[in-house]
Parts: sequence; C-alpha cells; structure tokens
Amino acid sequence: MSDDEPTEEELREAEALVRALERGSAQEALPEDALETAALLAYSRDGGALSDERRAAILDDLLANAKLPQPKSTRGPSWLAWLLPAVGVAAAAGVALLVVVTAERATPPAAAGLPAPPPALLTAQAAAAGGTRREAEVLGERMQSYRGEVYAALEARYPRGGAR
Amino acid sequence: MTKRLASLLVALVAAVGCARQEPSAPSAAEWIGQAREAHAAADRAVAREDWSAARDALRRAWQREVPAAVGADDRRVVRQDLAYRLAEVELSAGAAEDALRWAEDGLREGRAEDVFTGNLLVARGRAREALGDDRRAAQDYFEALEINEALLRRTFDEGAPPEGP
Repeated sequence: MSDDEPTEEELREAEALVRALERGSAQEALPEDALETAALLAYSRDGGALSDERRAAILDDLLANAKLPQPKSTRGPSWLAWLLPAVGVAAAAGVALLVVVTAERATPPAAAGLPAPPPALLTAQAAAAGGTRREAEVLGERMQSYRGEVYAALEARYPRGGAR
Repeated sequence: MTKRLASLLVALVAAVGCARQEPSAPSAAEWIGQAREAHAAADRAVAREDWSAARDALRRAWQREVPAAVGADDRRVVRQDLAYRLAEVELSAGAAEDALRWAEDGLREGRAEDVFTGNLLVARGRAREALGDDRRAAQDYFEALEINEALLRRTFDEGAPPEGP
C-alpha cells in the first residue's frame, strides 16, 4: 500500500465525516481536527445558515422529543375529580336502597274489585234513610250477608303470610 | 358465690332476650281477620241484645292499628263499616250522641260513592233525628239517597252489577 492511497481507517473516518456534515451531528467518534476542518468548510460555504428543509427537520425533531408543559386544566379544582364520582356512587347507592325498601314494602292493592252491592241491599238502604227503626234493622240484616262477601274478597286480596 | 353468678348470668341473658324481642305488628290478613271476627262477635251480642259486648268487640277492632300493607280504600271500607255498626249499636242502646260521634268518626275516614259511606250518612241522620236535629238529619238522608240512587242507576241502567261496593 503506497502513502498516497488512504488506509481503511482514513476511509472510515472520511465516511463518518461526510455523514456528520450531512446530519449536522456526529454519531460516532471522529478525529477532532477533521471535524473542525469540515465545520469551517461548511461555514465558509453558507455562513452556517440553515436551509428551510433542515430548519423544518430540526423543528419536527424538537416537537417530537421535547417535554412540552401541559396546558393548565380549566375543568375545576382537582378535588372535584374524585368528589364527583364519589357523589355519583353515593346517589346510585341511595336510589338502589330506595328501590329495595320500596319493593320490600308491599304495594297497597287498589280497592277496586270488591263485590257489587245487591239490589236488595240498595233498596233496604233507601228505605232506612228517614225510615223506621225496623227498616234500619233490615238494612243491618242485608249488610250482614254482603259483609261476608266483602270480607271474603279482602281475605283473597290479603292472603295469610302476606305483607304487614 | 358461683350459684349467684350463674343466676345473675341467666337473668342477664333473659333480660337481653326480652329486650330484643320486638312486638310483631299484625299482617294485613290478620287485621282483616280480626275485623271480621269482631263483626261476628257483635252479631252474636246483638242477637241477645247485649249492646255492651257488641260495642266492646267492635271498638277493639276499631282501635287496632291498620297495617301499612292495607290499601287506603280497603282501610276506609273496613273502618267505615265498623263505625257504622258502632253507631247502630249505640242507637239501639239509646246513646244517640255516641252514635253521632261514631258516624262522624267513620265519615272522617273518607267519602266514596259506595254502600259504606251511604250507611254512615243514614246512621248519622238517625242519630241527629234522635237528637232533634231534623234539618241536618234530612241533609244526611238526602246525601245518602244521592249515593244510593247512583248505585242503583249503575245496577239497573247498565244491566250489570256496579263495579265495587
């Protein structure tokens, strides 16, 4: 190998120098004097000015890697973050409790469905209104049988062992 | 000493047991059954003209607490019927003022276009008539007859039994 021909090491350094000049930063160890020479040459070419593409690339790189400050939250104090869900859970529990308690208490059935009064009872009632004592007694007697029907209906509506 | 301690322990356990026992409220069915039994007892007492026994049986039923499970209108029906019977017993016993009080107590349970409210108006009219208040007695009879007419109209005009009492 003659002195004019570059050695393998010189070739590697030259390639690294080219890459460093292209990217603007050195990735591997370079001979310091060569780097300074290359930098001076690059500076003499354009005065160190950055091209538009290079500026955009640097900006993109900065934005991608920089830890930007987070915008201050406008959603209210931090304690609301745990208070609101807690209130929601409490409200849901309250509603569930209400549903359970309401279900446990028997719903009062409607009064409709009791047997109709027979015509004989109604005529006895009409006679007793302003009538004699005997007519009032007849109303009482007719009520006795009708009462039996009413209570039978009520007992069917409220079976033994039912709600209190 | 040991005997004393044992007795004390037994007494303490018994006391705690008693304290924890809650009086059980009657069920709706029990309350209905008690009212029905009161009417049956009153029927037997009235048959032998024992107004005091009839009054006691009905009044005990009236004073019982109504279970929450009983519907409002069923409660009214049962209690108005008890009050009507108490008023009639008092009229039979010659106690018109007590009869008037029972009729008014019954009407305070509510008003409906049914036999039970109508009966109480008849009973109040009779009590007022016995007390010499003919004018207000006539008003009660008139109201009772209005209800009675509505029930009869439903029975005959529609050709079918009216709904409910």
